[in-house]
This record gives sequence, structure tokens and C-alpha cells, in this order.
Amino acid sequence: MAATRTGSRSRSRDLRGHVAAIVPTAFVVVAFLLPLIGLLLLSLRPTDTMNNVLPGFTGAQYAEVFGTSYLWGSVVESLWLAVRVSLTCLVLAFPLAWYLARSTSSVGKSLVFVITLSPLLTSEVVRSFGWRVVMSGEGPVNVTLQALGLVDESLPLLRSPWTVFLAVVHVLLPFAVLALSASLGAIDNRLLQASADLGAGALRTFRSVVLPLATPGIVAAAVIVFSLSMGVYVTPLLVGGANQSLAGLRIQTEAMVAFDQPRAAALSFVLLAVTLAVCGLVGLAGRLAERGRRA
Amino acid sequence: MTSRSTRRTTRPLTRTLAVTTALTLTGALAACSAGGDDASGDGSGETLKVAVYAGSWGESFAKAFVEPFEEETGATVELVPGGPADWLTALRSTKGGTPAYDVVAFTPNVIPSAVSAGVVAELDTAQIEQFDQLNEVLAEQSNVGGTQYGLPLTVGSTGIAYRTDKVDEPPTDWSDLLDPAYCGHVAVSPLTFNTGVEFLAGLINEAGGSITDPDDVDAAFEQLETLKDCASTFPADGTSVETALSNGDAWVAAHWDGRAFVQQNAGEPIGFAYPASGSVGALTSLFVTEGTEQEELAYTFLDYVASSEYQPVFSEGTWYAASNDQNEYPAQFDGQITSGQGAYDDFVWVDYETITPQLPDLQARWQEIFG
Repeated sequence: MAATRTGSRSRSRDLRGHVAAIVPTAFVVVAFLLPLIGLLLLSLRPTDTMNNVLPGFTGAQYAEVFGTSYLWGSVVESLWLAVRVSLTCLVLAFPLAWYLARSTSSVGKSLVFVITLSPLLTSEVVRSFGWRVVMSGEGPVNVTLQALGLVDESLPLLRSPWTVFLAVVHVLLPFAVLALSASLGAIDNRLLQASADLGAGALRTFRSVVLPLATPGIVAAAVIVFSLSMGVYVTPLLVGGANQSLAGLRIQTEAMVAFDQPRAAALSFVLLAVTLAVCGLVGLAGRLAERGRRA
Repeated sequence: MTSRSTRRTTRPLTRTLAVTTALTLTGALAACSAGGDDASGDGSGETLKVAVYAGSWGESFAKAFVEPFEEETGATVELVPGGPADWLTALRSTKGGTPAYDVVAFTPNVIPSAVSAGVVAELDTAQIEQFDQLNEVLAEQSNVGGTQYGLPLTVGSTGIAYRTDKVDEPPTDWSDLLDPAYCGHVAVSPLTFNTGVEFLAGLINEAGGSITDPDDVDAAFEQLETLKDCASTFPADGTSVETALSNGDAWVAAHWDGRAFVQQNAGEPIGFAYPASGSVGALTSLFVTEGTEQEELAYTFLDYVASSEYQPVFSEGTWYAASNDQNEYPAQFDGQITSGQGAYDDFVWVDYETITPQLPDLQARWQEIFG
């Protein structure tokens, strides 16, 4: 009798859970999937010479994306930037996240927390403009270099692809720190102690204990930073300028300058597909690493 | 207990309803009385959505045209800030229904696409009182295939802006931007931005060619190759050109005269050179959108925009000449900006009708050089 009542309560809880999930699920369907389907259909539409959308379906937009170095090259360039940014963010975020998750100094933690994550409180536009000011011809970096006698004339730092790379890393680093610190904070202190007791040095403990246990956080951070880097638009445009060969900028050009909405949609879908494929591979690698650890 | 608590909640509710009703009635009566006494026009209660630029352009537009229009007609103008590409995209997405705006400002690079998409209506020039006073050259730039669509408002010309404290010998023509003396300090705008196309057109014109001739375009791209390692920044909008000059990221740049003179008059070390072979015309025109429910009010508003009474106010704010040939400007303005009949005859005008479909390919070539 008691078991029946418990089962009935459990079913009732399940039902309430299902009902509660309906609204957000419906929201995701309406706000994300439906526009995505609309975009997919748009990417299959033909256009006239003035890029007005015509009725019918064609794969010409995708053929153009894959067959034109101007468009496909931008996807490759975005992929390359995203890989470099993701790896750099992971390397930089790890010690920061470790400190935030494990340090016993509340003052130190608060300081690092504010310094690392406060950029999230300002918009990407403001942060990118900050980089513009710092790296400009008469900005602090050039003024310092000239004052030190290292260069005679100001350097065109804004043109350098390294400036864009650094700015994107700066913009996305807090996301990696957040994802990693949650994972590192969950590591049981007793495991670290046990490793030390068994004679493992810091490096061995890091490699054999910390790294495997941090895998979910590493995967999450990599996926978030990689996805955001693939579609990054504002920072490269503001910092490096319109000559950046990135897919985000190409999509904007196709949609808002050439007014070729179907081609912009096709390029968006190719970018999305590449992003999902890489994120899937990262997730798979994480799962394999996890399985290897358990075996 | 229950009934008392109900009474307690009902009383304030009743009082709130009574107060709200009284306030609403008072407001409505006040609105009726204001409409009857103050507004001399017949636009009371009407709203006109006008898409124009933000910043000093929009502020000057509001001061010059919107304020007198609202005062005299009683109508309200809602200014929607943004850029031509955003507005065209919004109009395309609302095509067939109520357009997103009643009146919209477009630059020549967007006009062929807007006309082709059917989002702007043919302009009934007979309804614009002072249309005959508008400069013919400018009016011609707002028509497509011989049909007048736009009302030309403001004209600037693209020439060469430079840093007076960095450049010893001011540039005199377009090809001076390729001078090795400026290497590492040249702003080169992409062809996705008007100034980029206008620089290309100026360069071709200086060589005696036309931007619609593929051979001339090839020759200009060969010239651009020499800038490959000399460009210091690639501004994609007017503000970025200004910032690049102000911050020292560029010492020379193709730029609009009005914006450069505003910087100069503000005390910045910025000079402006009108290229000897010809400046490139940059025009902004206003269009009535197709399917607007406020067509009559839109035409009334365009009357204000075309008027020689209000245009000089706008020019003083933006430092751009306006289209009415009868305009009278202050002496300082006349000293810096050429305007009026004959002033635009030597301008180079980009044939956007021909160029627009080619722009993605041209931009791809630009990208090969500077990307």
C-alpha cells in the first residue's frame, strides 16, 4: 500500500516535471528551431541579378559557398582562429579557474574573480573599442614603444592579425574560466591528498588526477569558446577592420551589403555545420577520455 | 473575515478605478483641447516614421525639419536611427504589409536594390512645392531608369582627408594616396562601404577611365596592389574613418568633406583636399516607402525637407550642402563647401545601378589584396 502511494507520488512528480519542461521547450522550438528552419529554406532559394529572392529551390547558394575561396576561405579562416583561441583560452583559464576554485584566500579569490570576470559586465563593443584605443597609432602601446626608442614611427598594430587574436581571447576568456572553475571546484581534496601520500609529485598529480577529473569542464569550456569564436563578428570588425577574412564578417557583407539573403543563410548554415561537427568531436574526445579513465 | 477582507481589497480597487477614469477623461479632454487650440495643421494624432542617421546628422535633421513640421501640423515624427542597409533589410522583410517606415533616407549605393525590391514608391514631384528649386544634378542621382524615386536632401563629396601635423605636403589627387611617403599610414575602406567604392571610382576617373569598364577596374586594382603593405587600417564606416584620423591610425584617407571639416572646425589637425581630377559625389535622398499608410503626411513632410527655409539649418549642423539651389548659407560654410547650381557638375558619380550586382566580386578582389 505504502509502495503504491510512493510510486503514485513519484509519477505525479514526473508529470509535473514534464509539464514544467513544456514551456521552455516550446520557447526553444519557437525562438530557435523555427527561425533556423526558415533560414534553411531561405538558403535554398534562387535570386535574380539584384539578389531579390525568387520562388523555387536550388542548391546554387551552397555550391557558391563551397566553390568560392572568398566564402569557403572565410569558414576555414574562422575555424583556424577558433581553434587557436580555444586552445589559448584553455591554457590561460586553467590556472585562473584553479585559483578561483581551490584558493583559501578569500581576498585573493575576490580580486582574481573581479579582474577575470568583470569584462563580462561590459558589452563586447565596449571591450573591443578598448582594444582599439590601446593599439591605435597614438595609443599607449605605440607611445611606450616610441618612448623606449624601440620604434621610430608608430606601428600599424590594428592591422596585425595578432591584435584581433588577442582581443578575441580577451573577450572569450571569462567563459572558459567560468566553465572550468565549476569542474575544478568539484574535485575532492582527498584525492589530491591521496595522490601526494602515494608519492606523486605535483606534475604527476596534475596529469593523473586533476586533468582526467577536469575533462568535463575542459570539454565544456572548449565547446563554449569554440562556438563563440566561430561566429565572432564585432571584435574583429572593430579591432582589425573589414579586411578580416572571417565568416561572421562575410555573412554580414552578404546580408547587409550585397543584400543576398539566401547566400548569407547558406554561409550561416555551413558555419553552423562545421561548428557542430567540431563540437561533436570535442565532446566525443572528452567521452573517450572519461571512459579510458574509468577502464 | 473573508467578506471584510474582500471589502478591504475592493475599496482601494474602486477608488483606483475612479481615479484612473477621471485622469483618463481629463487627459483626453486636455488632448482634445490642445489639438484644437495649438495645432494649425491637420496631422494631429498622426505619427510619421522616418528612418534617418543618428548623431549630429539626426539631431540637425530633427532641428531643421522635424521641429517646424510637428509644430505646424500637430503630427508626430518618430525618428528611427540606423543605416541604409539596416533600413532596406527591414523594408524587404515587411514588403507586402505595412512598411517599417513611412519615409527613409538612402545613399546611392542602396537605391538600385531598394527600387528593384519594390520597397520605395515613385515620387510624385508635383506634390513637392519647391521641387523645381532642387538641384537638377542631384535630382538625377535619385532617379532610376529615368523615374524619380528620391528627394535629394544633402550632398557631400568624397575627397582626401589628412593629418595636417603629420603630412608636410598635402595630397592633391587620388593617386597621392598611393605615395610611398604615406606607406603605413593610409586608411583603405572596403568596397562594402561607400567611401571604398568612391575612392576606387576617383582613382579610375583620374586615369581617365570609368568604374563600369572592367579594364579600367582591373587597372585600378593593380594600383591598389601597391597599397597592399601600406594600408594601416580598414575603416568600414564614416565614424571609423574619423577615429582612424583622430587616433593617428591613418594620416591620409578617402573621406567626406563635411565630416572632415566638422573635425577641423572642432580644432583637430585635419585637412581636406578636393582631388584635382574630381571629387566623388555622395548624396543622401529621402524616399516615400511603398505601401505606407501615411503617404499624404509623408509628402507634407517632404515639403519641409525640400524647403530653402529649413535646409540651411540642417547644413549648418552637418556641414553638408543641401539640395535646394536657393539656400543661403553662412559665410564660413560658403568658404569651405561648394554648393548650388553648377557646383556638382564636375563631380564623379558612381553608377551604382551597374556596380551593385558586381560588388561582391569586387569586394572579393579587394579582399585578395588586403585580407
